[in-house]
Amino acid sequence: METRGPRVLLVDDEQSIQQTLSVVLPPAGYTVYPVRNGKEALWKVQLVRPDLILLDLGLPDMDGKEVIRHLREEWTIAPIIVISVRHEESEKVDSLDTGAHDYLTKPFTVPELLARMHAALRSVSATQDDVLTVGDLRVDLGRREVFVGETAVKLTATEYDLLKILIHHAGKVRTHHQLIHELWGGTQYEDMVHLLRVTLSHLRRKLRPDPTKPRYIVTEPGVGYRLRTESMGYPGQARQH
Amino acid sequence: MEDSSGATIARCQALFDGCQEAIAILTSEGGVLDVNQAGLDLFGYERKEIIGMDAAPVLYSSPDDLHRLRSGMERCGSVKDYAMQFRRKDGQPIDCLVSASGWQDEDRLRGYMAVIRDVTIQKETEQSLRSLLRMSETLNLASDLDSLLDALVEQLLELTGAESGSAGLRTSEGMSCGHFFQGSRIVPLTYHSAPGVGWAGWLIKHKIHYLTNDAAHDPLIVPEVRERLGVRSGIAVPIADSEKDVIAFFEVYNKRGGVGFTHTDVDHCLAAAHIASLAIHNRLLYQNLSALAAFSRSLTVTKDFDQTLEVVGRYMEANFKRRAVVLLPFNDGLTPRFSSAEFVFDEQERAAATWSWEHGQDAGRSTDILSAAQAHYLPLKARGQVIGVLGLEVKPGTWLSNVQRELFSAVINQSALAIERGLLEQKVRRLRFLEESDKVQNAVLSAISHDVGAPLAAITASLSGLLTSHGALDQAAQRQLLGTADIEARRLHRLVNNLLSMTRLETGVLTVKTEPHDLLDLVCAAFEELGESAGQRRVSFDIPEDLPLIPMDIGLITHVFINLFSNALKYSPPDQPVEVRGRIIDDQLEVLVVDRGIGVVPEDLGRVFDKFYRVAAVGSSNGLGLGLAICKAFIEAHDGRITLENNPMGGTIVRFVIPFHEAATSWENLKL
Repeated sequence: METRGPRVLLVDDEQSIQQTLSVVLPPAGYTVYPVRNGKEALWKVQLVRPDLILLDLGLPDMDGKEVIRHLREEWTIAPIIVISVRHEESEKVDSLDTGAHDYLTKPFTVPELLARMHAALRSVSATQDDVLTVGDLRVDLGRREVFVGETAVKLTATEYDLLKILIHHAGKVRTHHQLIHELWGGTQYEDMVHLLRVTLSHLRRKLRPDPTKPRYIVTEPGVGYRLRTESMGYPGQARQH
Repeated sequence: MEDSSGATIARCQALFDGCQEAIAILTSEGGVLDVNQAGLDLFGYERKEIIGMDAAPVLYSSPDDLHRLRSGMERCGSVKDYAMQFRRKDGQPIDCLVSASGWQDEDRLRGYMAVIRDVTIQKETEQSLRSLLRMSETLNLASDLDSLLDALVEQLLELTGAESGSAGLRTSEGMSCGHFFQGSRIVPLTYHSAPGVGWAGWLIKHKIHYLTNDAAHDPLIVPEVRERLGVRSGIAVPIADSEKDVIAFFEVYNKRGGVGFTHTDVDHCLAAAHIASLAIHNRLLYQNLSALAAFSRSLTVTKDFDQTLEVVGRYMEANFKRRAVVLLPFNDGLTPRFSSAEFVFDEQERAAATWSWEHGQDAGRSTDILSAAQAHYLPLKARGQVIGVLGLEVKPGTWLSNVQRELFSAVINQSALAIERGLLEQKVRRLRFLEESDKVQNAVLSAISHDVGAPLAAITASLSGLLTSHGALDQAAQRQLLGTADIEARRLHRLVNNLLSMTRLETGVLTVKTEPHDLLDLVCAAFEELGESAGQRRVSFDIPEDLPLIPMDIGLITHVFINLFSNALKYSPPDQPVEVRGRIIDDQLEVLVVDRGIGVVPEDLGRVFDKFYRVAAVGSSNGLGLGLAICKAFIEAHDGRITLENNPMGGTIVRFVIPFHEAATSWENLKL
């Protein structure tokens, strides 16, 4: 049944994933076009013109990165979210460098998936007057003020800039490279990555002084950071949907 | 009547003249009336010189003898075999036995006829025999070869009347010379003669004694010996074993009295050599047997196979003075498992060794096969099978005594047995290891099937229950089933991760990527992973705000925390809190995870970090028991240490430390 929602090209050879996502995605407003391998994906893309591509890296006929490269060469601008198995961090980074927007690790939960998809599709067009909100975190870009709930949070300039980037790309991963580049321009990676980590640690603590509350900023090991939009809940509290 | 007495007198005269024994007729005062030819020969006088002589001062060495003779005869009329010493014309003393018969006139001794038997030689022979006996006793009592040789030289000096002497033992390279005595004084002089050098060297070659009474012009004598001892004359005698192989020697120099050595002296020396031979042979035998016993003993106490080979090789070096190599089978060929220093095992050696191994016979030097090799290769046989090859370097000209040769085969056999034993032990160990591996594999398989099966069963049950409920279950019930399926799925996920980690560790694929990370964030991430399993737990974090970023592998350490939390939650009741503390002390990050659960039985405290260890507890034992083993491996991969103790207030405290150098990543260094 065709709906008017965003079109998702689902590239995955696993029957179970196909079936599950075909069930859970339409109620969330998506139209799913499943394909089983890389070749199929490349020609289906021309046919369907999807708004978003979910790409499993473990395809039978092609390397996932090759698929991404081909897609980019053919001017496909649709955001690509790669799905990968854990412990392939270098793969994740490579995919992001080749042109993917984000990634998801198996096994994933549906809320995680939906949050990533939503984040990928959300257009990034913030003006100076925007107020960005995620959960009870509120960033007033115009006034350069940050609130967690009702409490104002004092941030240094660098911390604020970092938060701004993350909240702009809320739900999406930003690599170390991307963050360094956006914060300090094209400078030496080796020196700056440590400064980035330290800045982020400070930021985290300021945003969430109570460690028992859920974390906003998630570390993606070996890749970068992500401001989380899906609410995971915290053990000790009821899960939210 | 005249005629018969005349005939008797003539007969007597004939007897008297022709007798081989010396007969003298003397007056009671000792005047010589008549002496037969034998007597003249004995005393060395002409007839006209001796007749009428007063025998007493001239012939008798001591006046007591004459007195003794006369008293004997006055008492009994005759004497038999009186031992007396006379003097010859040339002054030489002769020991004699005198039997005499006197005649009397009016109860007074008028004269006597004495038969004088020269027993000088007998006496000397007796003396020699006694000396030799004494020598034999002394030599056999000697506690070692050195004192034996010292005693030998001393006894020889006495036996031969020489001024000085020396002795020595045969070595693999020649003769060792020492034990120099001058009279009873030790002369500190030792040297080594190669075969052919000096008298000792000559003896080795010729195997008979050497005599010279003109040492000044002797071409063979070692000059230093001649100068030091002023050697004018000497005898050098080889001491041989039962197979005529020279095993030792001795020398005597300068017979006292300025005369030269005689053949008698030589005979004495040869007799001494025979005696010494037995004693030395005994000693050598004893020495070699002790060495063999020590060798056997050391073989029985070796801790491992390589030690056994070491003992064999070193014994060869020490006792046979040869460099050795021991080869054992490896893959399809032989490989040297012990090799003396500087023994070059090249292709030629390998060829000889391999031939010996394949044919079960000797090869290499001093054989007909591949004799260009440096070493002689012997197969080591145990129970008829060739189990290895022993190679012994052959140095041309090296000598082994016969005793040593016999010892050699005993040693080879013992070595072969010991090596065989070592090989068998290795096999047994390998078999046991395989058995253990099998056991472990089986344990793993059964553990996996149980612990993977259980969550799967729960998931299947929940979901199938939901599918077939057809509306019979209300929302709450449905939610519960779904919740269970979700929790069990996560549990299964953690289990699989643990298995994967363990496999990575075992196969050496694990890599540690350290980067500075925020400990608190990591701990929170781990806790979140547990999801619903954490239930309504209270967790407290005691991690300072200013704790620096710690270099660690985020994946591995997160895994550690997941496992530690999982345990804490599993083994403590839901209403008990779990605490996490972290701080920097002494260049280390110290983390404590404290729970108030059931704790660990004290006997098990040492084993908690073993693979597949599980607390025998609390309902079902889910989880493979790999959790702590993985934590240990991951922490140690960071050069850290992990321990587990019982909490005095109940439950357990897991403590781990990771080395950390503050200077690298302190906040202060980075002023923002």
